[in-house]
Amino acid sequence: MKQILGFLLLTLPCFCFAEAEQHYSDLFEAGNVHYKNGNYDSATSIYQQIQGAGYESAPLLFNLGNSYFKQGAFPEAILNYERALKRDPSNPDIQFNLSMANNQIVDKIEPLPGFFMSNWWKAIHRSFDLDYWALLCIAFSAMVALSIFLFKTSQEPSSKQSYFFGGILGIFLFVFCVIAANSQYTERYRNEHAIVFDSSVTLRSEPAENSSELFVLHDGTKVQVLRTEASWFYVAIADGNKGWILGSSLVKI
Amino acid sequence: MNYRFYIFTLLLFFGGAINFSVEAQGTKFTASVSKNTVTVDEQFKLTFKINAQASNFQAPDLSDFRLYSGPNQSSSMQWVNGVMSSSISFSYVLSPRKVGTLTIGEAQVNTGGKAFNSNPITVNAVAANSQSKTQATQPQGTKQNNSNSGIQEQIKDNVFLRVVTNKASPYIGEQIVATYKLFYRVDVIDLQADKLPDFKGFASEEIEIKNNQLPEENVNGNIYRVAVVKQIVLFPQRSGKLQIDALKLKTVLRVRTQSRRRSVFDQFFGGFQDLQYDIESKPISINVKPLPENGKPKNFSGAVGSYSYSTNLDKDSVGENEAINLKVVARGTGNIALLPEPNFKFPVDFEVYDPKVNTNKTVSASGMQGKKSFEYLLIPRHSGRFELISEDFSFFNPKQGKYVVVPGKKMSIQVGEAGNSEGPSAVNFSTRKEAVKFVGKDIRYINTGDANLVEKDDTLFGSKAFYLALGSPFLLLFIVLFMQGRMNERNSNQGLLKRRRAGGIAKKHLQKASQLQKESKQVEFYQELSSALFGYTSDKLGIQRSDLSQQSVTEALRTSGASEPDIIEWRELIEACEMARFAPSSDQDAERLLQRAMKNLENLESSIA
Repeated sequence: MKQILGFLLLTLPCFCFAEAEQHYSDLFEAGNVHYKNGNYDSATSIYQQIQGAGYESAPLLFNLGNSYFKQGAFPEAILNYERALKRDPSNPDIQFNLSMANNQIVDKIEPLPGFFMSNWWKAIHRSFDLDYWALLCIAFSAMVALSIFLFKTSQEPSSKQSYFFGGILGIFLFVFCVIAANSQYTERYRNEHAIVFDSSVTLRSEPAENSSELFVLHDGTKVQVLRTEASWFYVAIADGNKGWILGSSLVKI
Repeated sequence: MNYRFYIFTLLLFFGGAINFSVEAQGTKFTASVSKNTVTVDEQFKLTFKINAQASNFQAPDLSDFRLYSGPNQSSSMQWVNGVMSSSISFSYVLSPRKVGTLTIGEAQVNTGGKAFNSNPITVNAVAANSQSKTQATQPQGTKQNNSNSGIQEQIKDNVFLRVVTNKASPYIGEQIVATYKLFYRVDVIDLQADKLPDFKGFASEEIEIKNNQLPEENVNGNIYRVAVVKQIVLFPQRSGKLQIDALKLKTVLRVRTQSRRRSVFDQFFGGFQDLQYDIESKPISINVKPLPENGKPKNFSGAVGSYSYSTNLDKDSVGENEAINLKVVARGTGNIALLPEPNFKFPVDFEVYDPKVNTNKTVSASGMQGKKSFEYLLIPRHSGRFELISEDFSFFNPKQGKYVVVPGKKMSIQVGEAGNSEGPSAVNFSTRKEAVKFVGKDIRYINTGDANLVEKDDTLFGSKAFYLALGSPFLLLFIVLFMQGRMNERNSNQGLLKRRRAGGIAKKHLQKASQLQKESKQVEFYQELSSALFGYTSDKLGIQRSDLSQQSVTEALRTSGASEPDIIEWRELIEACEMARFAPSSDQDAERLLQRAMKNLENLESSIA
């Protein structure tokens, strides 16, 4: 019962927007029809219109990425696939198309092998969408509350024991879900990545135009933003190399 | 075993030492030059070589020469069949200072305590006459220079090199023939062309010249003899102005001397002089037209020229795993060597090997032509009827100025079961299962499901709703527990009351029972008595009416500390009541039962407290 209550609480704001949402869902369908007919540029502009109205979802970003891909705009396609993956990190279609787009760009970077534990953890926390993790958190907190209630009220010692262990298990699962959700949340909102949009850009050793040149990146390459100084970004690429780049050459994911 | 090995090595070592001792025999000390006849200021190399270890090298007098570098010493050592030979060479780079026969004297070295002399050598220095060399001869004196420049003037009009093309403005990829022609009115004794220029912007192919003598031509009123020096087929690679680079030519000309001081011999032999003369053609530029955009076929691959195609299969019905040969032959004029491979759509079940390409081209003054064949080996792996489609091939014909499309061809091949042909095939004997073959690669199709649109950055995790939903079960728990606590409290208060009243109520029941007994209402009496017994215990022990049974009351009595005989008495009384209800007994029995019940309840009241 409590779960349903919680769910209702969550979905309440959605009902208020239902009407506007319906309009944009119809637009989305229209964009899909354009895509199907091969009018990739009109499909792109429709998807962008939905995006411009402040709405977003993994399918929308995925389709936008696809229509950019079909027009040969690979950096834009990569940007949108990456954004879609943030919303739905375990979607195999997005992963596949992203790897296809990455094959089309100039820079081939051998990524550093991560520590196996962190790779596992990534695989685990990406296996669900952030909202699912949040719902799981709520469900487990409800489970803990229910266990406490039953423990308190039950008379028989044997069932009391099982409620006690149920409660402990619930606490563990709850903590696990909170940590997983937090990892994904950090990855989505705190960890800043960007895509290079200049066809060729030199990374420098200092945030100044006349500092020495380190290496050259091309459009479509993903970088991680470590810190910023004025209009300069200190970025790292997948193989661990770092350098300064002008913020105008990047678009944040 | 081991000592044999040592002996062997020792022997080898001594053998080597013996060889060393016979080294200095047949020592030769020779002088040589890279060129015997050189022009003034032309560099040449002078080398002294001795085939032994030597020291104390004394150079000859080289005052007639300008020294550019030297002496450069180099030594080499060689082992051939266990015989060591070593040599040392001393080399100079020199150029003569004056015209005439110059002698290089003897050089001397010491080897093994003996002195060796080299052979003297002569160098024939002739006058330098090309423009570029005059500068270097400046210090030699102006007189000779004057006479040289006179000859230069004379030669300039009589020998020149020109490059001509057979087309002034070709299309991209259209072949043109560039000819380097030498126009001359003096005797050319020798001519040697430099390396061909690299023709930037062109693909080039040199034509082998069969007949280099052309008919005489009239240039500015003078008749010149004409010879072809080089002929090249060029294929422009991009549009716009392209330059055909200059070619350098080294010639030796025989010209009449104009020396005022003529010797008798000069007059007698006509006074000719051999001159080295460098000629350079002028670069010319041609204007390359781009291929027209209108009418360009979709699959145009850049072939320019005029071609004909023939495609043929050696058989159109085979068994599984039998080879088929597909041969495509292109014939025509144009850059046939770079003709692209024809496009085929092969059935996926066919194994296709890379084609064997054979180019047969001839390059002549009329351009490049020939034939190119592509031979494909196809092996059908499965039986069935297959279609092999050759795609359209298109090229641009510069003569007609338009694109020509050779239409593709559809060929059908019948592949029979392996058994029909010769015996069982070894290849596909084991299994016919195979992985799905990928013919092409593309991104996956868009998501046409629900858009699931949400407001940007609207995530549940970390939002107010999330914390609310997280906290609400506990809030609810708190409320429920609180309520329950209150209820329990009230319930327990009620229980206390009941317990206090239990004795009173029981008394009332018993009084009512005794009344009933007096009125001889047997059934009601027993019912009242049973309810007194049950009611007392349930109120006293706090047992719910629904849970009320003999069993539960007995249990509760035991836990609350009632004595065992009282409990048994209580049970007997209840059973008697139950029995009496169905089998009525005498009044005396009833009276006694009532007394017993009163006694029992009194006992219980005191023991439970």
